[in-house]
Amino acid sequence: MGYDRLFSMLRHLILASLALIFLAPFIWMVVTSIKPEDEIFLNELRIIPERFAGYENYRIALTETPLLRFMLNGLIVTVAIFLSQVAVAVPAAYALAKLQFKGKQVLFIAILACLMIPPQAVSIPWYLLMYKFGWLDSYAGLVAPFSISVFGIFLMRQFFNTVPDDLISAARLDGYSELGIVWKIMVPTAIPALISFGIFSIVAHWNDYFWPLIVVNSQEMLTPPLGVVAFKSDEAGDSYGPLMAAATIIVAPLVIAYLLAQKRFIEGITMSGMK
Amino acid sequence: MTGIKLSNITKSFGNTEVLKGINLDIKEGEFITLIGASGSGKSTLLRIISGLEQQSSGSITINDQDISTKRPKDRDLAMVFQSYALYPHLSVRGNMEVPLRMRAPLWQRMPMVRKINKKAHKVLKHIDRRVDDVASQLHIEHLLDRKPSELSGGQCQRVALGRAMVREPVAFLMDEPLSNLDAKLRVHMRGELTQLHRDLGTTFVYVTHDQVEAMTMPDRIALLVEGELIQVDTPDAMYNNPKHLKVAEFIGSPTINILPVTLSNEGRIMFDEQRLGSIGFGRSRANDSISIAVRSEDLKLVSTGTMKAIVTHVENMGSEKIVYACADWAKGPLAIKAGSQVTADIEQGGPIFLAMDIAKLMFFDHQGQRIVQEKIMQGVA
Repeated sequence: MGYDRLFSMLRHLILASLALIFLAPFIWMVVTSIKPEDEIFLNELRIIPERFAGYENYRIALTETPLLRFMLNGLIVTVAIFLSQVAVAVPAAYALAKLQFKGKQVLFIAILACLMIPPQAVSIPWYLLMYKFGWLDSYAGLVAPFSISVFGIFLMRQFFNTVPDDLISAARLDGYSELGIVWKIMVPTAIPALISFGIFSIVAHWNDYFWPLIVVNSQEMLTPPLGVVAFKSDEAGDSYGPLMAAATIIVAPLVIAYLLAQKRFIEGITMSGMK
Repeated sequence: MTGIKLSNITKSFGNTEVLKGINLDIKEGEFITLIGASGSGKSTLLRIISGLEQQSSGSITINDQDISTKRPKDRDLAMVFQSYALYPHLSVRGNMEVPLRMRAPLWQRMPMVRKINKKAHKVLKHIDRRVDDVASQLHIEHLLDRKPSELSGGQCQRVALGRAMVREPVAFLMDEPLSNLDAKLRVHMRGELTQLHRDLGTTFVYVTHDQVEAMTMPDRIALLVEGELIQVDTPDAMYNNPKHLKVAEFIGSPTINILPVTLSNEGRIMFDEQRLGSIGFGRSRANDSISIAVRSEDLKLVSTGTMKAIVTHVENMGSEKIVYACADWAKGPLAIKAGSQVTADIEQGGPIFLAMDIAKLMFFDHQGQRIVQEKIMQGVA
């Protein structure tokens, strides 16, 4: 056996065991979600339950609380956030990467500086602002603070920097307006960057717990993570089976979306074909 | 006047003056190359003509119409870029359609309009036909459905040319379009571009740093050195009758031989105390430093003589050889082009003897200006 093969096996062994460590909580969550109450807390490690209780756990999870409503809220909020982030970040990044104007460097440094501010630090001012606007406990209140993503601007700018200037010159000669260049030339070439930004943004805001906790009161406005917590305290008490079922349902769309987008992501990289 | 007229174009980036008052008349239907070393401002000049860059002062007219401040798309020019600049997300057909589509009214370009509206259908059908025509002219019909990433460099270049051609602009601006191609394809495309220019009869403004491209294709060459046009002339005149030492140096391969000499106090050319031939410049140029320029093919190999040199290197080009030699009297290296028969027994390190045809010598003063022939007195013994 060659040294290379040995190394390759070792590498896969290490990767597989690391993957197992990271996956363990998720596996445990899924396994618990199909266990009956009395099998959850046992002295032994049991992966396959003796009695399959998945159906009733998931039924309780879906009926006892408006879980689907929470997920719809999550969908509306994450999509709205992502779209407005793109609508702001793409033109801003284009200007920063490709246009010449006074104060460009200063502006860019200011944007970089904004990357360093933790969202918790500005949550009180944001809360007061939302209060003044009368947006507390509404979709607007959930979306507005995240509608401009500094990270998105930065990421897109880095990507646009790699788009050759000649392409933009050609587009100008061909008759595109500046906005036409942004949406019809830059965005299609930046699909891979947009997808990776999309994954980042959607995961972050689907899972966000901090801001919705502050801004939302009424049950019909709850986002998925708040919904799980509400589920725990109000309905389920100590019934971990339904709780884990609810958690699984909430995580599932992200995992599925990621697996689908991952394929597109690789496609996106190969199709851009521009060096 | 028809054609493109540049008057007093200047361009500065901050404190650096890139173009220093360019005046150039490009005739309609002319193929002109702008040549210069990198940083000479040739690309900037092209971008100013195209409108992608704004000149600091001066004006541009096309067919007597002032376009100095017009936006690029309103100038009716098409440009071909070194990097091809094809839209990576569009097919070849999509790429070639763009210049025409973008000039159709917005509503006609909307999806599905074509199916409902007769006029839009007609316009778009006309675009399709035009793209097909140009594609067949460039022999790229079979590529129309491919993406740029699936094409070779040469094919990309054809598509880029096609995109420029569909609209029938008043002039084509080309920014080193062949630089990214391999050597063999470049030679081939040179021929095709000249043929294309003959077929279309449109003005070509072609920027290059490659003097072979600059020599072989155009009607006229404009040489830019540090933001100034040194000479604008036919390739023939640029080669045989350069007005400035820099022109002589830039045009021709191998580079022209330059022999720095100091004139005697009688205005005669002295090589190591030896007088060269019977020419003199009169007393007005006594003790001046001048340069003698002589093309490599105008230096002759002779069996013996006073001009001895040592061979440093021989380049065999097949039909001829280029002999590189150095000599004390030349104060530097020399290149001699000669047929392979004459050079058969020349070897590295060996001595050779040279002779110059005095009629073929070109003289430049210390500022690089050509010393005109009348001022050289021949036969003054």
